[in-house]
Amino acid sequence: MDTSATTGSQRGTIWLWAGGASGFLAAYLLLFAPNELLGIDTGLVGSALLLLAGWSAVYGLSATRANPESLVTLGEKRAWIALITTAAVGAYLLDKLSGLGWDIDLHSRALQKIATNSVAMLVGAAILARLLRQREAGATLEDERDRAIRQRAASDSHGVLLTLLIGLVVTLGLTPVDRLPFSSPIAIAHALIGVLLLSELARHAAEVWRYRQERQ
Amino acid sequence: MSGPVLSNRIRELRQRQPGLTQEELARRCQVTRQTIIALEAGRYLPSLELAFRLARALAAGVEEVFQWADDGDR
Repeated sequence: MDTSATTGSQRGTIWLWAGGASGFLAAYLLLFAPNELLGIDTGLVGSALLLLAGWSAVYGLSATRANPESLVTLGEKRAWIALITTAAVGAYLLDKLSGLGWDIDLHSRALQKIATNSVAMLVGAAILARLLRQREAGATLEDERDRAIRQRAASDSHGVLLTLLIGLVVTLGLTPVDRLPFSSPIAIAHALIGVLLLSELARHAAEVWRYRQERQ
Repeated sequence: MSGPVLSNRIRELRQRQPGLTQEELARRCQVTRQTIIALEAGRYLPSLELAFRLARALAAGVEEVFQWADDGDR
């Protein structure tokens, strides 16, 4: 009986549960909790917990090596991290900006906090991806199959971006100003950011989908 | 009408060499183990460069590793 594999599997399962719990708590702090609790910025704490959740999940998946053929490559891990981070940032921005109003003043403290927390999530994801790369140093980290998957996903994302931009332009051009939900320059800027986020989300989703398709 | 089909004998040729695991073959060809798994399962078509690397690592010719079956040739 391979006791080391069993112990590793148990350890991995614990880390996966820890990652899941951190993820739920992060989602609560980012989307549902008040902006400040006991003087602490809940958005920043949520971002840090999201990073912890990501690391726990990756470590847990690596430890639970039940089926060798289900081992996830670095490319797929990075695609998952990017997908979850982009979705988290998108959900966070949508939640906070729809609550504060899309015409919010760029210099307001609230918007600056939202921007800081969003950047913190993106930086955290970049750090996690770098840590993963260092952890797997020595092995081949990326090969032609990874590059082919990224190329096809980028092409899918390009299509989504074009479709959304054309939709936005047509909406802005054909809708009377008084009936347009976002007619101010700031609101249009937010709409463009949303389009960019959605196209990035589509790219990462396409990468993850292609990696999973190739493992079936 | 179905088109040409490219199949391979990577797993069979690899198993002929004692101690040549998927991981070792991946290391020799400078790809990830998952790429070797995908190749052996026929889910990925390699580039020409990778095809030659695989042939060299398996000590076989490219046409021994990969087979091209066109409907017209059958």
